[in-house]
Amino acid sequence: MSADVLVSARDLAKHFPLRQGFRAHAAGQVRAVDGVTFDIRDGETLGLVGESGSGKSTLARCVVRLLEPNGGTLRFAGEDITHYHLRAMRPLRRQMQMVFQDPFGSLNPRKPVGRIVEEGLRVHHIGTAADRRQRVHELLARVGLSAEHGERLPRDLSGGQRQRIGIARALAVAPRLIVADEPVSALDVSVQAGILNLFKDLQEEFRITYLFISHDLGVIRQVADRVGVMYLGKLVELAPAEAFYARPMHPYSEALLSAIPLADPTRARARPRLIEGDMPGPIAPPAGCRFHTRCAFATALCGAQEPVLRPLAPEHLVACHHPRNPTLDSALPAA
Amino acid sequence: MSSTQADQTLLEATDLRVTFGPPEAQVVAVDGVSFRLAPGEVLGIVGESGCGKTALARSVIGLNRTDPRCRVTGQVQFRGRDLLGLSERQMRGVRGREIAMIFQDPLTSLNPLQRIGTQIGEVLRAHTDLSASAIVARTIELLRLVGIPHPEARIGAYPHQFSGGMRQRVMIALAIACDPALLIADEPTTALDVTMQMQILGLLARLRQRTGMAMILITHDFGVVAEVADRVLVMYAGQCVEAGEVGEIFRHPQHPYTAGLLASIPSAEQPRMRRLPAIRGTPPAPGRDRPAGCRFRPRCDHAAAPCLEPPALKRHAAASDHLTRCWLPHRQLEAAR
Repeated sequence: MSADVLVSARDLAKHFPLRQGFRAHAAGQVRAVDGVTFDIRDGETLGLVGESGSGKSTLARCVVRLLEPNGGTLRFAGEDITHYHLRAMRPLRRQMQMVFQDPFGSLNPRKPVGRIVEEGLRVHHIGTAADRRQRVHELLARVGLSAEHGERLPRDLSGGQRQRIGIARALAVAPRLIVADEPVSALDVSVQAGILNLFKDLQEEFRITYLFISHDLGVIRQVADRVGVMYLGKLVELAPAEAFYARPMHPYSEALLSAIPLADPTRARARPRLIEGDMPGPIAPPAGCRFHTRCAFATALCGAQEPVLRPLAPEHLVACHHPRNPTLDSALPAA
Repeated sequence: MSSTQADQTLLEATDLRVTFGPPEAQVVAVDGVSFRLAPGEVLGIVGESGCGKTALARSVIGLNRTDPRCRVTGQVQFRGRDLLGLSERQMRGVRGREIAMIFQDPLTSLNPLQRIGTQIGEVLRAHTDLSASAIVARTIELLRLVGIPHPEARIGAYPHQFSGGMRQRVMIALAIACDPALLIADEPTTALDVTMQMQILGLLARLRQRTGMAMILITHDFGVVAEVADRVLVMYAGQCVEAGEVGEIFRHPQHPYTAGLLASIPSAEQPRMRRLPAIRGTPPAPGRDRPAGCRFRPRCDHAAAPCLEPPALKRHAAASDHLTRCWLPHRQLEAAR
């Protein structure tokens, strides 16, 4: 593995048993994440998009080891942490933090927010009490809040301010990786942009690596260096952001991009629409390519054989038998 | 009023005010909003959380009239009647038949213990005198119209057996059961994924074309407005700050709030920017801390001395129906941008 890779997932899987009835016998499995391979490079932002139920949150929780994967391997800074126990994980938690979607549900409602920010420092025995107080003030200032905000309870802050607290808490232990799961989805549009700018500034200043999850392709374009698209537990496309937005190759990516409402009435109404129907459930995903039931380009092959994620352009990986917008050289069969 | 004028206006709200709580601790959710809707027209009401858009919509259909904490004043003229003056009994005749509403969360709006066919049938029984077999036939027709596959088999299903998008389709079938003249949709696609959102917006546009119903579409998302609305009303802190034809608003926003909001939407079409244009601060909570004068003043980059006085909603050019609530002449704002 090259030195600049911080997180490396190989064929990572997380299945949840589905229990039913009085005895709670296993009645099947929810294959939330089903064999996903990718790297996150040191200092980059990997954006992960997909619809609800695609497995992106489960994947995020596996990466920070809030969940234990039950297949594949996960490496962090070269160390195999796939099956680390709680105690083994503890020193690593300083290096990987998480920011959640709901800034209210993820903050203890009875603690002043300053204490919430300080908690990570106390758990990891960082600094003296005075040092920590000083550090909390610095952190609050860094995310655009005053020391006075630190005395308040979460309910006395607005949604945007609470999300700033969530970010300050993650930042407190100076992590190398922050996994942000839909961090701006619950915020008003006018507040969203400020939070996205804060993420960018912090990355520049502290060289933090982000795994940034969102269902909003506009948000992802503004933060991500590379983009991964998930569908029913699988990664179907992984590409540098500019290449992805200019020439999406998976029909699902193309459909997702075509479904975004455009803030331009004339063009919004003239666009072709590329997708119909609902995502099937992750309990019994379709055989072959999981997207073939909704795909406009599907053939018999797609229902029979699962496509593998393979490079079709430099750094541009696609899992599709009939990719869209292939570059000339990649359209040729591999030598 | 001449009959042609009456034909052109389906609904006209004048100086609508919605307040909550006792006089000493009153929260003003909607503070004097007026608008007009022609038959078949789609009006998009856009604003952030707490701006009063939902309270506005609910007061039009009288959903908050039984709430003792809530007071609604002003006028809502609909087909020659003032809806605010109707009794609850009379209002019940309007609701569901002439004006219908759909909500953000289709799961909590459907009865979980009743088959969906029964729920749609109930609306038809209450408002029409169709026979039992005609009700079943009409229910199946409605489900087909909103794009539910195999409607004959699905009328016996319960809400939990449908996905979120399919439930919203059922809600729409319920709402249009009696061919209402007006459909109020409160964030109808916010709980849905983009691919389903696109399908539901397409469905609403098709239904409107087919039945000629007017729509009030409430949303926080300018993209949704751009997809379906004819006219837009932008709300901030309980007031209308800008209103006009949809193309006008998107191409030439006049109020600094509208312009700022449009600029701050992260776009999938725009290459990555080093910094997104953001509006500073947060929207004021309803009732409390609303700044004196122009309510957007503390967050506005163009705020000046005149902004300490409350600006009126006025025409931006003499002959246009583009209204804006800002002291600054638009040339000055455009130059500053």
